[in-house]
Amino acid sequence: MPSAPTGGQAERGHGVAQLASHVAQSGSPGDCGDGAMREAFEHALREHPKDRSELWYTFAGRPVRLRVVGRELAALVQRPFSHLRLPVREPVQPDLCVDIWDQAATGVARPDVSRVHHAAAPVSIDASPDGRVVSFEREATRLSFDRAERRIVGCVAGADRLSQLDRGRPFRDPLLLWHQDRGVETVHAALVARDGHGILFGGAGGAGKTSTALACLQSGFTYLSDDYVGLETAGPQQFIGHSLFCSAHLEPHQAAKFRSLRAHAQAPNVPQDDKSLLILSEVFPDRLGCQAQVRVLALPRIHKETRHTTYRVASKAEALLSLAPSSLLMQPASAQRQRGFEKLVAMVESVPVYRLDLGNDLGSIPSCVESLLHEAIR
Amino acid sequence: MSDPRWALNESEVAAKVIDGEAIILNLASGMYYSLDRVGAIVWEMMAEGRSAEEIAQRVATAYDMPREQVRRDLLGLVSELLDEQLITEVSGDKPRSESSGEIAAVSEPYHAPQLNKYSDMADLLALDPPMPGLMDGPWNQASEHA
Repeated sequence: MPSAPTGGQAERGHGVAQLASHVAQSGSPGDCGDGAMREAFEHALREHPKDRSELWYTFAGRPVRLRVVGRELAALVQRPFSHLRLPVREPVQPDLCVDIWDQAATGVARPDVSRVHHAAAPVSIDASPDGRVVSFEREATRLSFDRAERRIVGCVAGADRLSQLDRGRPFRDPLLLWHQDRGVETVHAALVARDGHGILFGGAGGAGKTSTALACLQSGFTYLSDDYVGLETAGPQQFIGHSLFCSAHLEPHQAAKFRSLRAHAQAPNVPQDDKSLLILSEVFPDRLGCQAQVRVLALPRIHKETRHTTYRVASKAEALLSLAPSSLLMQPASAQRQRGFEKLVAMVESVPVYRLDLGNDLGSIPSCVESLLHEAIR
Repeated sequence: MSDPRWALNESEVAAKVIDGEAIILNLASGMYYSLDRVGAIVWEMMAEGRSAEEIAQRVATAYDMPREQVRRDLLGLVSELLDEQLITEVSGDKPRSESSGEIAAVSEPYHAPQLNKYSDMADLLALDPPMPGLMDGPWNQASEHA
């Protein structure tokens, strides 16, 4: 097995090397190094009391505790969740705990644990034989998720090495799995709301979800997502869409279209990434939502040759074909995808469906979305 | 002449006939498919475990077409579905479904069923593979919400 990379400062400390050696041996063989990761986190927590932060959030309506050791890392990973902050005054039982430390800032190395490597994949995944513990390694980040305890423990080589993807969607892989375990399937869609009525925009990458959601946000809609939505059954023919991240990754042509947002976008931090990052809570702090009932499904499609956006009723088959493949393939546990498919079918059958033909005049999108929403809920 | 029957490859395939169209996903490969109206009718009857003869006879009657032509078209589709690992041939001499298997009145003309294939997601899956075989356990509360 290849040895995993470690942070620069972490590699230099003798005491740190000893700890890494100790924790690597202390985990049980079948836990994917989860025990060793926990010990290393607790060590970082003890050794750096002034650099620790604890914050509470609501993910899919459930309380979540985030603890970070490392100030710069804490500042970065909090941003995409800032709209989900929970003011906790009384102690509550968290539904999920996320504990993460910065290797470079704390000098606490990542335990040297074995992993399964998919040669062509950006993420390496390992799981315990019973599927309880799943570990993910993506670029400079390692995360271990104990599904029974509902605890994610992770480390980053250094805050400055956090990828653009992790800056916009921290802990994405285990978070999708946690949602799936809680009966909240993640769908590949954007979600905005008007007066609490959610409009879900489904489709594969490049369909126009981000452009539609951002155009609606700029004109006063509540924004929940441009890419990932947690879908939960709330009752017969009722589906709640949950926001996961308040970030958008803009391709260069999108950044050019949204000139007023471009000033707030953070340029890519590695040459091979051309997407800039936008944290929407920092631009529209009052227009972000946590959840909304899905009242209508719209399927955007970009038409560069036309100016104005139009809509028409779409077939349920068209909707399922647009929404299901990319949604199901991003659900982490393949054994549970059948259930995710059934939920998508139920949702598609329950709400009105429209095709949204996007023109190149962004200003015409929100009024068109407004019209189709009125038509759907009248 | 043998009279084969088939079953959906349920461990890897998710499918739904909706608005008279069959949407079929191969969850292992990332390939997905659609079948037109005749194809969707055939797909449903295959899922019920009806034999080639039963399917050909009912489709031929509903569309007022020669049974042999419909059977040839059916076996052509079956060959594609087997190649794509969407169905498997099974033994048995009765359908698995209690339904009558009657085809509702059709208004459109007969067209040989055509399997439309989409491969754009397969590339995505190759880059970002799912976690295979992750088991449900006491930690999974999803069934409570289903």
